[in-house]
Amino acid sequence: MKKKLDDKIIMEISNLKKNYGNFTAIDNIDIVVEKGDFFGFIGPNGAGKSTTINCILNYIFPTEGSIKVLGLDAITDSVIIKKHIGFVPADVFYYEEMKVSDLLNYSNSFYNTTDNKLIKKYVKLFDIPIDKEFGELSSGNKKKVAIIQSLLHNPKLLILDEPSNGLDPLMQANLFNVLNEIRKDGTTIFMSSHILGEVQKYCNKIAFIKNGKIINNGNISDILNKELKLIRITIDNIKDLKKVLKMKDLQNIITENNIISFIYKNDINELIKILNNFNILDITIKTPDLDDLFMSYYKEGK
Amino acid sequence: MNLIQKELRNNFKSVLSWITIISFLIVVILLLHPIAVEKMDMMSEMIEQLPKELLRALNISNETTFNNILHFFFYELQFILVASSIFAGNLGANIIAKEENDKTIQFIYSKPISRSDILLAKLCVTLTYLLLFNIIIFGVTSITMSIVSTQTIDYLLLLNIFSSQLMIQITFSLIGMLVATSLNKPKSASSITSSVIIISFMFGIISRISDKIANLSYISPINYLSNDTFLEVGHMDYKYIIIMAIISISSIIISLLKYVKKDYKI
Repeated sequence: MKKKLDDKIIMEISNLKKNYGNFTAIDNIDIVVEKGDFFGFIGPNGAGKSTTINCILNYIFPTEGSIKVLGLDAITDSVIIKKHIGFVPADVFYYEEMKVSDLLNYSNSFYNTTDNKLIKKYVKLFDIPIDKEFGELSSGNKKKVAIIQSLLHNPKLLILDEPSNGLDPLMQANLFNVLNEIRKDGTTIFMSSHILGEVQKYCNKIAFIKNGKIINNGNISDILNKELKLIRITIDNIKDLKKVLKMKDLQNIITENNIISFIYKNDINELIKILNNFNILDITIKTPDLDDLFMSYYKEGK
Repeated sequence: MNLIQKELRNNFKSVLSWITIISFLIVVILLLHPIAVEKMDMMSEMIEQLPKELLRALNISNETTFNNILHFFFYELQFILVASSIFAGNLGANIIAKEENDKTIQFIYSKPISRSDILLAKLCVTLTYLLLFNIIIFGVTSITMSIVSTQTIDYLLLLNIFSSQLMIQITFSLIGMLVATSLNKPKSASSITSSVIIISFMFGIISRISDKIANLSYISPINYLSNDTFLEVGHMDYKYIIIMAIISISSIIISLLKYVKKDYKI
C-alpha cells in the first residue's frame, strides 16, 4: 500500500537521544520543521548537529525518541523518505575513482526523475570539472558535486550539513541563490551551520544545540526579539550586583574578572534604576544579533 | 541493478588480479608435472624416508601417485585452495567493509535503497565473481592439462573439484561478510577473515596427525576437498556439503540481522 506523505509537517524530531556507551551525544532533541521552512541548526563542532542528521538519515539508530519525515518513520520508512530527501554532507566521501559525470548519473539512477538539463544548469552554475575523477577534486569542488547531486531529484526536504565549508564567497552566494530558488518552488531546507551570518540572512527558524541538547528553538524573529538586550557591565562588586538582580530576567550570564555580561529580558529602565546604586566603570547595551546570542550561549558555563 | 553494476565494476580489477595469479600458479604447477613423473622414483624414495606423521599432515599416503596429472594437480590444489579461499574471504569482507572504511556508505545510503538491498546486491556480486573465478580457472586448468599431458583427463572429476572449490569459497566469502557486518569498525575485516582461513587450514593439517583429533577436520573446509576420499568417490562427501550449507545460510542470516541494525561509522 502506498503510504501518504505529510505535506505540512516535513520533519518532526521528538525526544531524540543517542548514546555511545556511556557517552550521550544528543539528548532530548525536539525539532519541528514545517513546509517551506529554511531551518538553521546552529552549534559549535561536536555539539551534536551531525549526530542528529545521521539519525534523520538512518546512518545511525537513535537510543530513544522518534523522527518523522513527511509523516513517515525515519527508520522503517527510510527508503520511501529518501526518495524525497537531498543530502549534502559536511565532509564529502564519494567514490574517488568515479568521474564526476558518472557519479551524477549514478546518483540520478536511484530516482525516477532524471533531468539532464538540470545537471547541465548546476554544473555550469557551480563550475565543476565534470570529466575529472572525484578523487582528483579539491574539497570545495567535492562539496559542489555533493550539492548538485542533492538537487537533481527535486527533493521535498534538503538537508545540508555545513554547506558553506570549503566554498569560496562566490559559490556560497550561488548556493544560497539556488536554495532560495528551490525554497520558492516548495523545497524545505534544514541546514546545520556555525556561520551565523548566513543563518541570520536566510533562515526563518533556528535551533541552538549545545552539548547534545537544544538550548533555544523557534522563529528567528522571536529569538532575536528586539526587547532582548545584551548587557555588558564592568563593575568592581559583581557579587553585590548579582544579589540585587532578578535572576529570572537574566539569561546566559558570563562573568570574567570584573566584567559581567548577560541577556536581559525585562524593561531596561528597571535595570538602569538598579545600576544607579552601583559604581559602574563601563556599560554597553545592545540588541543582540545571532553572533551575540551564539557567543553568550556557548561561552556560558565555561 | 545500478548498485550491482557499480559493485561489479569496483571489484573487477581485484578479481582479475586474483584470477591471473591463481591461473599462473596452476599453469606453473602443471608444467612441472612431466618433471615430477620423470623423477618419480627419486621422489618416492625421499617420501619413504619422511616421518609418517609428516606425510599424513601433508596429505601424502602410500597410494598417492603423481603419475596421474589430475592426482598431481589435486595434491597441489590444497595449497592453491588456501589462496583461493583468502581471495573469496577478502572479497566477501571487503565488499562490505570498504564502503564503510572509505565512508562512501554516506553516498549510497542517502539514496532510496534499503540496507538489506545493499547487502544482497553485494552478495550477488560476490557470488557472481566466485562463479566466474572458478569457470576461468577450470578452463585454464583443462587447457593446460591437455597441453602438458597425453593422459585422458577425467573432466567430470575436474568439474567436481572446482564445484567443491566454489562451495568452499562461498562459505569463506560469507564468513568474511559476517565478520565485516559484525565489526563496529570493519577496517580489520579482511585480515581477521584471512586469519580464520589460515587457522582453519592449519586445523586441517593437525587433524591428520592423529586419529584422536581427526574431528578437527570438520572445522577446516579446505580439508573437505583435500583428502583422499574425494578422489576415491569422485566428489565431496555430502556431510561436508551440509556443514558448509549450514555455515553459509547462518552467516547470511546473521549478517543481514547485524547489517540492518548497525550504526554506520561515517
